[in-house]
Amino acid sequence: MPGAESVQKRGRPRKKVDETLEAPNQVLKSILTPSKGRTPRPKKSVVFDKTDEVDLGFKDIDAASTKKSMGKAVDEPEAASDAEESPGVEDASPEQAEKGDSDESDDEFCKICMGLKSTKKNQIIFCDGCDFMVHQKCYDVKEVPEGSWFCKDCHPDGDEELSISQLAPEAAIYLPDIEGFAEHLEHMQRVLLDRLTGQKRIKLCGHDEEMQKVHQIVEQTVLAGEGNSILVIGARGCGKTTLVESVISEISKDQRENFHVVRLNGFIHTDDKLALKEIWRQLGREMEVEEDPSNRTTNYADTLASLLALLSHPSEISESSADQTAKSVIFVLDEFDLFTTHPRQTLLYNLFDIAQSKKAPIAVLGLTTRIDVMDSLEKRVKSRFSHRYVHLSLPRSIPAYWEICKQGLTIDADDAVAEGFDGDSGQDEFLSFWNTMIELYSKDVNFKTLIESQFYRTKSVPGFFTSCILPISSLSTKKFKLDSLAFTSNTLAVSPPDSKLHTLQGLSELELALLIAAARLDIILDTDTCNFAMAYDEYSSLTSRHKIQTSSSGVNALGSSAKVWGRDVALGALERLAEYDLLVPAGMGAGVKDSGIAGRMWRVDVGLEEITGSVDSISTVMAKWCREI
Amino acid sequence: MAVLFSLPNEVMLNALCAQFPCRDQQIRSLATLLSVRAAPCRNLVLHGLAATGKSSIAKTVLEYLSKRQTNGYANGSTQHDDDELRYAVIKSAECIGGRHLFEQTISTVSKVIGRSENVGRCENLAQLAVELSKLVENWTASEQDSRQRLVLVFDGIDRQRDAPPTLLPALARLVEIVPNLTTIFIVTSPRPNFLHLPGVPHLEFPAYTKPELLQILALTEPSPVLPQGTKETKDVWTRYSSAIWDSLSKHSGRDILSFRSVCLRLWPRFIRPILDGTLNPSPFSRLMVANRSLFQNDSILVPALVSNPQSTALVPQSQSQSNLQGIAIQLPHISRLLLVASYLASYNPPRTDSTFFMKAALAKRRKKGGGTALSRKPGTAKSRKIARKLLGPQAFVLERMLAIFLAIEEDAGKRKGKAALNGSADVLMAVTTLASLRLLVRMGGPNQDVLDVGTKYKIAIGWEVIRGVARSVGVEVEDYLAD
Repeated sequence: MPGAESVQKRGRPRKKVDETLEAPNQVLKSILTPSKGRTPRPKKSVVFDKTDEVDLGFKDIDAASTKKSMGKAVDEPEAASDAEESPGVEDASPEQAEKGDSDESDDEFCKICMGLKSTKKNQIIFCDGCDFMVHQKCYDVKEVPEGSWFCKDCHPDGDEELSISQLAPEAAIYLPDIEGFAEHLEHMQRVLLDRLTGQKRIKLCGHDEEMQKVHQIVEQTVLAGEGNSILVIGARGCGKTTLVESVISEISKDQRENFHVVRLNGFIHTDDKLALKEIWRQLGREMEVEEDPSNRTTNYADTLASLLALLSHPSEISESSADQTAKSVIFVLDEFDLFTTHPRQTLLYNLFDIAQSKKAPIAVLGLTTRIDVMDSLEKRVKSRFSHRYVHLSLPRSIPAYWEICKQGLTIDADDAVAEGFDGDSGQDEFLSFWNTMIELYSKDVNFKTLIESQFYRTKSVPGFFTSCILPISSLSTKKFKLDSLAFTSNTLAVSPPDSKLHTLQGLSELELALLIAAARLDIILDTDTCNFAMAYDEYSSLTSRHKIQTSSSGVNALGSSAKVWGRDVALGALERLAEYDLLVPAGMGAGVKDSGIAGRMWRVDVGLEEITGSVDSISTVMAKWCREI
Repeated sequence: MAVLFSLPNEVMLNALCAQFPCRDQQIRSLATLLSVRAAPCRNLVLHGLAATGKSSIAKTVLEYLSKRQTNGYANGSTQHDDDELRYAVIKSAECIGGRHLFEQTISTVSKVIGRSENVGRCENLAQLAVELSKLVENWTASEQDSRQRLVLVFDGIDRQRDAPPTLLPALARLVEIVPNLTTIFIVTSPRPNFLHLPGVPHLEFPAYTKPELLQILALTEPSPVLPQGTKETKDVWTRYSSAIWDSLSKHSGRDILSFRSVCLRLWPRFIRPILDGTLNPSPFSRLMVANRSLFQNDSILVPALVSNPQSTALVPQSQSQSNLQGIAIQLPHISRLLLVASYLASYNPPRTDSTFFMKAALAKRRKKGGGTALSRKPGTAKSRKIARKLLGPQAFVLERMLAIFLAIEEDAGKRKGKAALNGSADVLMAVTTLASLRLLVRMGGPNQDVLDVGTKYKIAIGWEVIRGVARSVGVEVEDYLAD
């Protein structure tokens, strides 16, 4: 059955190599030549029937590549290429096929399971880079690739499939036939980008219980006039502010008249005096108290007193106006832990005291990242706190994380009207098209990697959103292609750098050499500090040793790289290293200021072993300096 | 109709990219992240090493975006003419403290949004937030139903002097208080999580690579031009700048500014043979050989107040030499001796003083030579010993220095055949003079008596200088140094 046999093994071109060797007018090829130039086939057409199904929109995922996820839509071209290929292989003369068979039959076995059987479902495939052959299933290859296939050794990064799909020539751009597509797209982008850039808040997912708790407390303050205090504790970016703000906005839907909100931030209001002034200002604005210019000069005690008077229940102050009901005030203290560092915690004491003794209906909501914030409260403050907490956790699993992240990429049905999708022609179709696209997209390998890397490193939703801004905004009707490349490529990355090692790339040779010399001293001298003289001495001895070695061995090609640069030039280089924070000043002793940059002691902030890896084109000499002490 | 999305104008972007070569990616991203109709984000960090175009690109992009007539968008719609973007750049290098920064911010913003009234004091972050939100609210209230955006650029905010401890996180939170605000932070190298805010977009401006630097430099017009014509000039200039890169700028000063300045400064001397008519530009290698010294001399890289390439090239070493002699000449004999004594006191450990300076031990020391060094077995120390010279000057008490001074003074007098010092009034005077010249640095508190015998000093000049000074008074410093 030579014909059937060869069809089965279309995944690899060994036999074809034989053919090309014999064919007189074909270009000669060695075995190792990747079979890129295999039998030319007509260009594939990826244009589908428009009525076929909802379009998928991923032009980067080439239909001809190995993606199973493309489903039925791909079947057609796949079949077509099958049909094209099989006759081509069958052209081989029977003798050749026979010959190929005969020597293949002894050594054609799976290197993993040692099995010889190659069935239609589980073929033995051959690496085009080496002699490796393996069962599909043993090597976890879902589908036999049409072109070259490389084992993991020949393709260590394992991104073979992806790079094929990315390099595939862009097929004609296909847009679904939806009325007013361009406008809908722009609208969608507007809505999504507002969410991604943080202009609009997203809904909080998976914290219903906590939300309920906060909601209840605020509501009781507003409606029943209770005094309450609660701490919301959670990591950065887990939605503390979102929770509080959504609670407040929900309550203010029908109770806006009955309460005031005062928002303070520990970073901005760095002491109690400023915080009080701010409270006074915000309350004054809301209560429409005329702001007296003389207010500015009043002292802390006066402000506090008048504030207390303002907050205190009116009945306490004057018996006459007992029927007057006080409005509740909600205090939102962001970065609550910083308020505990204020001297004597006066503000917290007073707020908690008012809340506890029911002098006035206020609710104090503290937002903090520190789980041990209670330890920093003074005893008298602690005793007045209600000891209610809400802990917000970051999403625990990737599906939960994706559930939140999805809000930045899709609009669900409930929000659609609120966001202005009010049933214009074609809007529903567009929404469902878009959501299907994102849903499919989330199953793409590249995209999954992105989500996983975000999840395992930070679990931060804002971080993910930020990485989506540029890809989403680069979409247009002319270039409608959500590219997995766009999400992951380095050129578009807007994420913060991982460490300061990336600055090493931009250092000049002398700066790098000095840095290496200083880092070597760390190990050689067993101290963690060094000064300029020591680093320069090490540098010049290293360089001159290198110079002697190269001149003795007759290698003079390196030219000026073996030159020892002057002291002044080196001092300038050291200054720049210090400016880039690669050297940090150590030992703030007496007279540090006087000794200047040359006399100061420095600590190297990068390790010797880190340097080689983070500079692309490091010279061999410097790499050696990093390696050998 | 809800406001739609549109990208910044392509024509504008292309013009910008032509103005700043090799920065396409950054310009496009920046324009998208700032443009009112695209994706105006709230905080933005631009980071990169010195001279990578952070500030100038940010400023130019903002300038383009803020022009009303040119802020058409990619899809050509003209209905967005009411969009308005204003920007204010605050340079931290120009502000001497936190308060100065705040007041500068407020006054720049009020100028930018066209409110001329004088803004009063602004002492802290809370006040800054209040004033800013007032200004912005007034501004946005005056023009209804248009998208307005204010961009605050804090240039070099990581180098702000006397900054309040929470400055950066607080500035990053201004956007939560002030509506329609974008804050841009331009920093050299961001510390991890320095804003205490997750998900702030960071745009990196990487250092230019060699081809990029050469490409940019090719746009510079050198002067003077070669007599052979501009095409020849350009040709020579390209090859010349590449040579300069390989020999000088690659090693030190690899940023575009210093590279360009070095190229421009050396250019007239490089082409002098051509102007003289002795050489032709065509065999470039001969030109290189003729100017070999130019590429080997690193004095051009040394920052100097007086940049005079002519003199530095002709007398590269002797100028610094004469400088040293300058100090030696300007000081009187006793002061020079005192300086030498201070140097010895700073760099010699006190326990070796008896070997070096006691009269009885003098002969013994000469005989023994480096006896102490030999007594130690090699390889016993776990780590290499740091040469004392490298550790920098140590503090010494005045008394000890004066004793050393007397010892070497005698030696110097013997060699020069001068009479010994008579009277001691001048010596202490000379010490105070040296201290006031900052050649000696006084350690310890300011309320200590300058001439108290226990006052500690440190020498502030190095080995090369002191050797010249010592020779001028007839003392060989090596004789007295412990190692």
